[in-house]
Amino acid sequence: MRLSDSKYGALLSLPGLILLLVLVLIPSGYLFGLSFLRYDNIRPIKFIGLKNYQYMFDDRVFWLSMKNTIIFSMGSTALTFFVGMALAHGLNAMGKGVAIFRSLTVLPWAVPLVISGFIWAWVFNPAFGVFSDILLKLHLIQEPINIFGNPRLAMVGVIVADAWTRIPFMAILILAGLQAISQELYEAAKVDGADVFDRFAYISVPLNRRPILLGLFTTIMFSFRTVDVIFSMTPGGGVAKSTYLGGVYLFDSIFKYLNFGVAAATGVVIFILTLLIGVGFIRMAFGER
Amino acid sequence: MIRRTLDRILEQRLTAYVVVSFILFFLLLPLLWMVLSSFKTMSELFQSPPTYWPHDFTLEAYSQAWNKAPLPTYLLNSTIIALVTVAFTLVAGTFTAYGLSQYKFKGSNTVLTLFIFTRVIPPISLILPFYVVFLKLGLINTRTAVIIYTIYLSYPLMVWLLKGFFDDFPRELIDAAVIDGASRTGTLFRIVLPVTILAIMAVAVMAFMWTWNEFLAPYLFINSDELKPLTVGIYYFVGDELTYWNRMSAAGVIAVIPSITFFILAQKYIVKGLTAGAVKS
Amino acid sequence: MKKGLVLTFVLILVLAVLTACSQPAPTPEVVEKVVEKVVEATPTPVPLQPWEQIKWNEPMPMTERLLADEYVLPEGWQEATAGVDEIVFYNSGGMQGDIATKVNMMIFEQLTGIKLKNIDVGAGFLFAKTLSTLSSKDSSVAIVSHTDAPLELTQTMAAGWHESLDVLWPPEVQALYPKGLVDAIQWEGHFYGTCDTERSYLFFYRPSVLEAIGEPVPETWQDVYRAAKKAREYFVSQGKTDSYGIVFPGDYNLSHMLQAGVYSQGGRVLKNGSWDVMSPEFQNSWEYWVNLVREGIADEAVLGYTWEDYQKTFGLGKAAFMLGFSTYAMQFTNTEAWPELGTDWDVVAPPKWDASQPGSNRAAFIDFDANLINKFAPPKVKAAAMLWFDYRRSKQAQMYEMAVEGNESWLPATYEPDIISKVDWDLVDAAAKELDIKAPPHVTEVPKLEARRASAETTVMEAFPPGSKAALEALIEYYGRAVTGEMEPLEALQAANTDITKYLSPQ
Repeated sequence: MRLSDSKYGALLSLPGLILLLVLVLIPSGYLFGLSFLRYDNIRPIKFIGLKNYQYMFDDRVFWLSMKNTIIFSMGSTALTFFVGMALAHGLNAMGKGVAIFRSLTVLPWAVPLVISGFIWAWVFNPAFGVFSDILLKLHLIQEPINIFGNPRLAMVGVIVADAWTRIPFMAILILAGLQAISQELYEAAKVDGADVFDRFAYISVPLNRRPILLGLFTTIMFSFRTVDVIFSMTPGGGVAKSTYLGGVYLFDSIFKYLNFGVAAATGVVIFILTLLIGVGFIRMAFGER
Repeated sequence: MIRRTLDRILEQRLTAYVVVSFILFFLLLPLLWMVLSSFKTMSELFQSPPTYWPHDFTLEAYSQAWNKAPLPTYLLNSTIIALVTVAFTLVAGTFTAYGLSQYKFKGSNTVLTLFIFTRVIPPISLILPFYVVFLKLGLINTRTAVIIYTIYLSYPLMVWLLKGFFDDFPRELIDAAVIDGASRTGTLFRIVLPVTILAIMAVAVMAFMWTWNEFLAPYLFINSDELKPLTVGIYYFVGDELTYWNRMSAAGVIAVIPSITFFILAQKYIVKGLTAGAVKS
Repeated sequence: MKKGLVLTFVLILVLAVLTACSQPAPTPEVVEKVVEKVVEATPTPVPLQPWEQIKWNEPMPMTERLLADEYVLPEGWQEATAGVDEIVFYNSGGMQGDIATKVNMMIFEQLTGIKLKNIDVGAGFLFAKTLSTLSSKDSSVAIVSHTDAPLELTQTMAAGWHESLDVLWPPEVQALYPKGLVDAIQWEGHFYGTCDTERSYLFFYRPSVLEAIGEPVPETWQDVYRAAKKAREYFVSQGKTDSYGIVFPGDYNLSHMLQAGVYSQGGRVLKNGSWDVMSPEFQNSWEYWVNLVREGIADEAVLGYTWEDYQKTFGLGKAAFMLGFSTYAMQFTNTEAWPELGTDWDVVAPPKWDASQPGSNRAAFIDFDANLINKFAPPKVKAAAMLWFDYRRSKQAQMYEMAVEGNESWLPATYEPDIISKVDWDLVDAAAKELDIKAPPHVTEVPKLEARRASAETTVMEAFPPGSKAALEALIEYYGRAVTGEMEPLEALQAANTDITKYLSPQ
């Protein structure tokens, strides 16, 4: 009567599997299928093979959006990572009051991205925002900076708003990893004469590899396809399309130009790109398994 | 030489406080600005240069936000959507992850990898297929549609994280319990879950946040005001004629209070949970 | 086991791909139906649709019903709409900003007992929401609205997602409305749209600034350029560095500015149904608007300004001139809401290009919201929606748009001097109360009626072909590149043209 262990395991995982099939595979397959169709909501739907891909690869705006996506995703991840690292190590080195500081750290996490976009847009507002005003008062700038009216700065603006909500997760993840490292190891290293930098390079980072990679992986993944902050800060993709991301290109293909075929093809490309990044990271983090 | 000096500075405990405070200042500035803006009048808000402390401290924005938009309804909807999603993914995810972790079967690694890969798919590209399917099932303009979608969003990562926790659980304890005559499912509930509950809580909070913060899916799937969650509801303060930043801020404050409270209460578990599971190999 | 699992996954994936590929496509169906209808027009074995049962010309001809001071319902509407008690529609933005719509909803409900239920959708997402509703054949929302109608109409009409409104638009009714509108709401010989509100453009200026710089009221765009330059210098000399000579939108409505430049030279943007941005008129206009920013006469921030931002900026007293919606000639009369501007503003019809142009070229674009019926809604609801459309375009309804919100009327007949005396202000106040907003001032005359009429007479309407949204995106993007000095003005226009050609030619 008793099921074998492996059958028991399969039984336990079965509901999840079915869920996976229903929720992910079918829509994904549908997506792939759509990408081979001429589906522009004007002419009859027709199988056109790879023409959508051809159209997309010929489209300057597609490449622009890809370039922007990479800058955005790298920028957001880098900012998140460095601030997150600094915060985590700072918190780890703290004694009294660490709980309060840690609580404060997580606050931005609780803010939905859409709202984050609005808040930052307001903070960056050249006339009424606090950002330009502080810089003016410190005499760092002569005139208010209009971040979103300037194609070169707009990207920085959206990266900040995006990274802001991701920093807490990164910091807490790395902090959790740091706390798992035995204190004795540090003491021993100190006795051997290792300074802060040695301990950072030989203990904190290598022993904390998995959380760091997990944090990087999640941040890249999420920022690679985000659209929320763009919608609330620079609707439409910003001045001179400076913040026009791949996700926005996809969204516009569906909801502005009604070209479902091209939209699906874009979806497939983003799908494959994220998959490649994902596989790379999983290999790096768990390759040994 | 520089290295030595830096080392001496970084060795100080005080340095940690200074660095963290400095970062926190920038991290919390926008939140503070939102709170301050919510107590200002419209005319003060559009004053250049901006005022910091509200001159005419007023709760007008709050009463406007509360009265003009059904904020309590939005809050309730957000809560329902988030709780159902969390409850479902938690229960289903626990079983799935436990099976994948402790009772490996041929192909279980493939299943796990698939779970990770599904997390990688950009959800925005699946919105259209989802919409069409929901419509065929008559689920458009229901919370169920959003819940199904948010389950899709959080389930795979949930399984993945939970599996990490279960992997760390000493197998001997499970085996010992089973040898003592407990059923395998009983062991899960009596032996494994009580120990890993903190970790599970942590994952639950994260799933809650992801769901709570979701914007695009409810925006497209839901029409009625009575069914909208907060993220979508707040979008409506971006008016056609004037953007009521003070009301937006007030609504924003109301929106983040529950999640912040929840977060502060749970953050201990999050750190502990992440330490216990995802962090260790 | 492992292999089997992977195989299953692959199989399901492939199946899903195949289903998607072999989906009985919604579009051909619809297209065929439209074609069939044309063919079947003569032999009619098909049962009449509810809206075809309404006697639109009883008790009096349709034109008379529409032009009556109080709208008259057509006969047979009860039977056609029996059982319908609610029509759901998408409204752009919050209803708080649309009190005239609210008043009209209340009047319609009093007349018919049919409620109108608005779903407020932020303007930025309205088109996306509309498309997701239509493309998924969602029947729950009967009426959709396009706020950028000249650009958006053709796309959804071409997709075949709307019910034909031919019953509402017989030739004699078409004759009541401007030809531009009538042309814009048709697709392949059928009517699909009706107008909701419209806004023509007026040239706003501040007399105090003109006086300070010693300039007369500008007649031509060249005058405007010169005066705006002086105004900026004047502002700077006064220490008001945040005030500029002119303000305008660099966002979607940038096209309206470019169009004003083109029309004022007697040109058109479309040539043979397609964008012709390399015409001399367009090039002139393009350079004009680029140079305003390059020379610092307008703020670089205009790049991010929406229609709302720039008119608000003028309202905050931070610009000497703007080409603005006639609606704001109403809004600014409320001096309490715009203390910085106060009474220091006035309007004239849009300028012509230069002194050599005839007065009839004092023309700008006209922007309107269009309402359309979701083809997938239940027939009786569609009939009710048509009844609402019929009321909405009538003189009575348009009068409220004009008197309460300051929108323009599509019906030239609405521009009567004593029109305001017919407004039921109690109803307006009741509507304001229901929306929980401040009641609008009970004006005794429509402000600046003369300038409005002049603008409405010369205004130009062009309906853009599908793909125009993308074309506009390209223009906006390259405008940004030109303004910031990344590219030379004409080089940028050339590049935009390359994109536009691609977007407008079928894949």
